[in-house]
Amino acid sequence: MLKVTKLTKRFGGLTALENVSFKVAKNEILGVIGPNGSGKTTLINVINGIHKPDNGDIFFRDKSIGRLSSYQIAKKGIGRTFQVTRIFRRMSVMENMMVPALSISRSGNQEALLHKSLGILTLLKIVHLKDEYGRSLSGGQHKLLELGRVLMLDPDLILLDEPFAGVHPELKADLHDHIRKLHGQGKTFILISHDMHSIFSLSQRLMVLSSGKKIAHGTPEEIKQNEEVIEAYLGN
Amino acid sequence: MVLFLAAMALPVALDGYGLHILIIAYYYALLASSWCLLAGYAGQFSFAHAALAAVGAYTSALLVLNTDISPVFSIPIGSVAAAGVGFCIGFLCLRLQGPYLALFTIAFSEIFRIVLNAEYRYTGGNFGLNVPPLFSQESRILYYYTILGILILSLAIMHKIVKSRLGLFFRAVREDEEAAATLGVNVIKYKILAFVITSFFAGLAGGFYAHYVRILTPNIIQLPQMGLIIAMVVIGGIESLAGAVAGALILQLAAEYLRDYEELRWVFFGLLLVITLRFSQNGLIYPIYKRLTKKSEKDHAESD
Ligand SMILES: Nc1ncnc2c1ncn2[C@@H]1O[C@H](COP(=O)(O)OP(=O)(O)OP(=O)(O)O)[C@@H](O)[C@H]1O
Ligand SMILES: [Mg+2]
Repeated sequence: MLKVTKLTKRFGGLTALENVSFKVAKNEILGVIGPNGSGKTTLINVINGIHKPDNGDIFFRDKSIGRLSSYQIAKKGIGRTFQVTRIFRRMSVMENMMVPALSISRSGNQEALLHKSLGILTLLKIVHLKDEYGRSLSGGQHKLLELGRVLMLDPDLILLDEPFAGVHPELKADLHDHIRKLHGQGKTFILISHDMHSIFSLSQRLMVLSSGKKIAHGTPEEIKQNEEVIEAYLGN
Repeated sequence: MVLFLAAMALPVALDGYGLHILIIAYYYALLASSWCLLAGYAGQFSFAHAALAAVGAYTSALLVLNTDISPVFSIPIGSVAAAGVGFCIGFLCLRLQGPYLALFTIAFSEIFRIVLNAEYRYTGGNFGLNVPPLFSQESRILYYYTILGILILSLAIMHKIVKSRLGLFFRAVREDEEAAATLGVNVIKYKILAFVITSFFAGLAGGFYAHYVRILTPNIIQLPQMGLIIAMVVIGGIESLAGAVAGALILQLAAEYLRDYEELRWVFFGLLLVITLRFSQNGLIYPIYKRLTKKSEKDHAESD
């Protein structure tokens, strides 16, 4: 579904990604781990068009998307969340949901879209907040709303950047359920997390980044045994 | 509705001078509400709005003076010209945010003002340009109803925009451009569109103004003019078209009422502006209105 070839991204003198290649199959959950500053967020930013690659390309359903803008990539069916949530703070929860809904369906039957977003908000258990301003929600609720917003895009591929950071255990369990359920419905994920328990239990395959380079990939079991990975994390 | 009827009936009660003040107040209300759409909703804090009104004003005036066209047609053409200039500003400012956008638009306004001054052979420079009137009759009432009609129609259109998909995207762009883009919003398109639409209304206001006061000087672009428009919107409530209109009417009428205090009244408005910014994000008028309507609802509920 997604193929990344020899991706390189530099910020001035700093190489945030170097020659990274990998594939994600349809309906797979690929976990990405690596120490702080290893380039995980940059990878998502390049895939979804916030940054342009300096080298290499990205193919989504066999078509190159490396040169497209963010909004075009979103319309092709790639959604993402942010490590530090980026809710529209002076807009209501419902309005937050309607932005992606209306961006992908120009003619858009408003009634149907409202109904759909109510359905998603109910699933995420934040429907009672639908008329609240984004800014009045808690951190955990922001995470949920961001996920809900992404789902309104009807994406086939969802990129999640640290979805479990700073959420309390109960909500984390809920998020696990949501991801599993969406996976069951055929969605594909790239999941970034420092939460080892979560990422090892959810991912089918893992990729490890260190200083912008891919240093390992394999099943969770393989990665657990990999000495290079252990070294990258523990720093000798 | 009550306000509308009052506005319709007012001319009966007022003398020529009173009418003149209201006409100018409606002109500011159109400028303030369109700037509110640009800055309050779409988040583009531009200082070029008064200059765009001048684009409309001078385009229309020069067209009438140099061709045989009637102001009825030249004013819309001036508005389209302003929209065109708005397009260019929007395009050039795509990557500018906050203070940089402000600086660029201030620079644009100043340059345009200086050009108008320098090209006095065509524009009359500081001596002013004598502009033919919109109506051949010397009737303030005619002008009054015309600007009232333009204002109401423009507000209706802007209100419709605010409530539509377009308005939702404007606000999303204001809140977070990158997040909006990742949710499928073509940020570049909507930013430029915000400049084009609001510049059109600024040009419309300017065109009417030119053919009403009948003398144009580059002073209509002076920075204090822009400051006044911003004060009207901020005091009215930056994310409320009605608030912007109310702010414009109140400030304009207050400016007339306090005329005896001369320059002191600007100090007073400045203070009001600072206080508003410090204590209330949503302006002074909008929260008061909200509280009043809430209260009357409650009174109703209690009396039931
Ligand atoms: N927009 C940017 N401009 C300049 N440098 C950047 C930018 N974004 C990231 N970097 C740098 O690129 C490197 C990789 O950062 P990135 O955010 O991708 O790491 P990460 O793996 O997501 O880290 P973390 O685990 O802390 O989230 C870092 O050194 C960071 O400082
Ligand atoms: Mg990161």
